[in-house]
Amino acid sequence: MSKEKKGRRMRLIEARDAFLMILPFFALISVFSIYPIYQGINLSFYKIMLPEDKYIGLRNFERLQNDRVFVQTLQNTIYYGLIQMLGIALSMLPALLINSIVIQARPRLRWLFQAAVLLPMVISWVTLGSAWNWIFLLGAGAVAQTGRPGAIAASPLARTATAMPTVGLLVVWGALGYNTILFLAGIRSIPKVMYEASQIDGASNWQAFRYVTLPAVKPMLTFMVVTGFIGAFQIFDPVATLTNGGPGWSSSSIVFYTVRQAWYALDYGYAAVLGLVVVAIVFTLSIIQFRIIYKRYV
Amino acid sequence: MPKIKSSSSRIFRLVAYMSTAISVAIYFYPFYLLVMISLRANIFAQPPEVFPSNPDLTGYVSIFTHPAFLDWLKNSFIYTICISVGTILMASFTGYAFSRLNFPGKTQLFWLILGLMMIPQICAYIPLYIMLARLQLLNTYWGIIIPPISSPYSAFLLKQSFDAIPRDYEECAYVDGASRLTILFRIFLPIAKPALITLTLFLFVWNWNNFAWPLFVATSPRMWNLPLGVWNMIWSYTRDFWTLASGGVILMAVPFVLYLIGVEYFLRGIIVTGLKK
Repeated sequence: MSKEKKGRRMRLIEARDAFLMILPFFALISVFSIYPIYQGINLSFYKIMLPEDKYIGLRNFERLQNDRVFVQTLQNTIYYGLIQMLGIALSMLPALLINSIVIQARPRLRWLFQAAVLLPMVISWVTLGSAWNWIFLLGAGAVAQTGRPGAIAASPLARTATAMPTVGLLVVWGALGYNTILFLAGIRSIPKVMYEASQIDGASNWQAFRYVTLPAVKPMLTFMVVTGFIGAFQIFDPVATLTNGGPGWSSSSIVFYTVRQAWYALDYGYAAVLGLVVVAIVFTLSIIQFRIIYKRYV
Repeated sequence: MPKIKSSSSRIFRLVAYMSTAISVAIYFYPFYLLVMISLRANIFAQPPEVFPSNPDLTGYVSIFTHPAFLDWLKNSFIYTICISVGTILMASFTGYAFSRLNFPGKTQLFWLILGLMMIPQICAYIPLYIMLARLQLLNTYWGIIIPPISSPYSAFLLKQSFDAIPRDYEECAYVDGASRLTILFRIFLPIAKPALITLTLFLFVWNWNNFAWPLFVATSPRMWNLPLGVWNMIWSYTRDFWTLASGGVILMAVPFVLYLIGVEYFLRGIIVTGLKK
């Protein structure tokens, strides 16, 4: 057998092995991810009903324009995205605190600090949601017992005006640990020489933060901002567990509305359209995010 | 960083303790409260009880005697273990093929994986639900376990960690006549163990806590998992606090133990790969 022929044979075997290895994955992906996306686009032109689905053209899309709940939940979602930004800014504080004081004064405390703030990340929102509901109930009960006139014995999660901000802040509470850890890793990776150099130049602590720390964590900051918005456009669990979307639609996110349309209104065609809106937004944001990561590596 | 002078070091230590104590308090309080309610602390007493004066386990007894509770618990374990193990296997094969082997269409298929990572899963649930309904696979273990095990994200992550393994290792084994499967299982997976453990822990926690997916495909209460069951109990406006709190405590017990064992891995997962809830 000639050398060239042998090489070709090897390549064929390699390709065969590779296809055998990726076959199960791509078979499942095709059936359970790609086909449903196609089917989702398809569904959006139909009114799903028995005995037969009815083709209604673009009517589901036209409905978006006059759907006040759609506009409201979209606004709510953007609100959740913005409040995430607050959380990201806030998370710099504990990161700086750990970096400049805790690690130097009591290095072992870092572990406890991190373990505590990361805890909500691994616990189901069903548990978190019920715990917080009780905390607010407790607070409301205490207010009621003071007997002050005008004390409203209701949890902030149960009032239209405060439900959404409260859910937003609790999501921030849940994500704070994650953001802090990322920031901390970013700050720790800045070479010490840069701070020493700034000190020699007579920079104050604030100036060191402004001109050394901040530029160094900027790519990570941009990444976190985009990730925060992507997360907001997929918020479901906190809404479902804290308020179940209420009162009314006041704390519903767009994904929650989508699920409700499918699940309680049984309007699958319209739900598919709402789903496509979410897919379009998240996909665009993800491409931006991907470009940020890519730029970082190149 | 400026060096701390010994005169101010006491203040620094104090600040370190204080800030740690405050954050631990803020982050542990909800869980503490939940456990106390489940043990029947009278939180509505004036002043509220910090610790139950006569703790008892009736909350736990009543949740374990709930007709479907043991089913939920069993389902939670079945879904979590099967989906996580399946995902790891699929992702290992796919990750290895994309990291080391050459085949036609490799680039395009890789872009496909990246593209699928950018599509929110929950939006595919609606058409998937209709599809599974037509195949009569709703409320079956197959229908609930098989769709989520093909995870583009996991395949991508393992490909990345396999890429970091030097080629010398496998070349020696290859010269000795080892097959590709042997190389994958005997060389790659052991070397990539930290990444593998991290991914496994995250998958366990995600799948244990997942309730959007079962919400769609498990319409019969007997097929619910624990989060879905407890959630439904809460929103059915039962005001039996102890029972609900006990449900919440049992639900968080498994991830909590995993978390205590593997905090280092969770930290690693966030810092190295940006894994999220």
